[in-house]
Amino acid sequence: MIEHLEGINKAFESKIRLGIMSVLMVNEEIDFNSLKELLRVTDGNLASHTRALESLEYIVVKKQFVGKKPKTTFTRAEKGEKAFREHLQALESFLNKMEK
Amino acid sequence: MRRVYFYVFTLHFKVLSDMENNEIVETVKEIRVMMEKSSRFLSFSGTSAILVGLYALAGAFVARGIISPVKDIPGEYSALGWITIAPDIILVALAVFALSLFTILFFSARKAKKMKCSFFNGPAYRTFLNFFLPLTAGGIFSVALLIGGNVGIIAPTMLLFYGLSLINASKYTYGNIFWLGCCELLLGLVCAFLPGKGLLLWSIGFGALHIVYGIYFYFRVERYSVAA
Repeated sequence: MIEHLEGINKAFESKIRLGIMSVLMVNEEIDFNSLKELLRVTDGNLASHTRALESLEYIVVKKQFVGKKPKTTFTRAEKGEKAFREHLQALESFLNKMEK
Repeated sequence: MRRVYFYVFTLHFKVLSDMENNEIVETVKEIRVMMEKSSRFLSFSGTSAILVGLYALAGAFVARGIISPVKDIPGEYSALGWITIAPDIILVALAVFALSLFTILFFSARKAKKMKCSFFNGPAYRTFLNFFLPLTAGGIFSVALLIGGNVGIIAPTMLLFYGLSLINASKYTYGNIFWLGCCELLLGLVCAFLPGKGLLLWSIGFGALHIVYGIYFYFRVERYSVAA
């Protein structure tokens, strides 16, 4: 039913993508492993969802080396922040309608 | 960001009033849980606060026995006597502190395991850093006061620094710790105006308040925790 609502963002239909965005709204940045643990997903699963959000320019992926280990961190992008807020608003307006 | 957080928070409670369990309700709930879990240290246990309160009361009782011989007249201390008992007092204080820290960490680690998340994550690190920075300064300052014979203001100093540490850490863990910090601050200020009542007010602040807070936390937070 959620997909018939007005203003609902298709990108956030997946619980994992919604989770990634929620985490990035309250944290300046988060690394791959912390995010993986929070969402309880596998490496491959998380990677495919972050890639999808990156291609939408919702998040920024930063790869660097700490010693010899690669470290991936994510930050939210302006476009993603706006999209997430709109998504929340759409959810709220639906709930308000439901109350009436 | 804080605004978004509260927005989701209120949205969540709006949802709670409506018992209809549907997809959107679940979605909003999930957003809130994710925001909370990723930004706050949530594996604190109320049981450990009660135990910490009991340790403090025991410590205060032992300290009273050590102090009473040098406390000739109520409210007045002879500086000479204090130097001789200073090591004992510091030992008791350190024992209470070490035991409390161990208890808090032990219960937190246990709760984290139950919640299936790692114990020392980003929010935990931020909570401990923000808590221990002012607290360590206050601890060293208290030792300086004790060595200098300014014993009358040690209890208010400890209460004040502890209150500030709690308020500072509350931004990264359960928000209600802010109010515990305020109570400690208030008690510290009252204590500063009541010479001779230091140990009593210290016992209230570090003993009774922790027990009350631990019980409150157990019944109000732990039993209805969304994230648990």
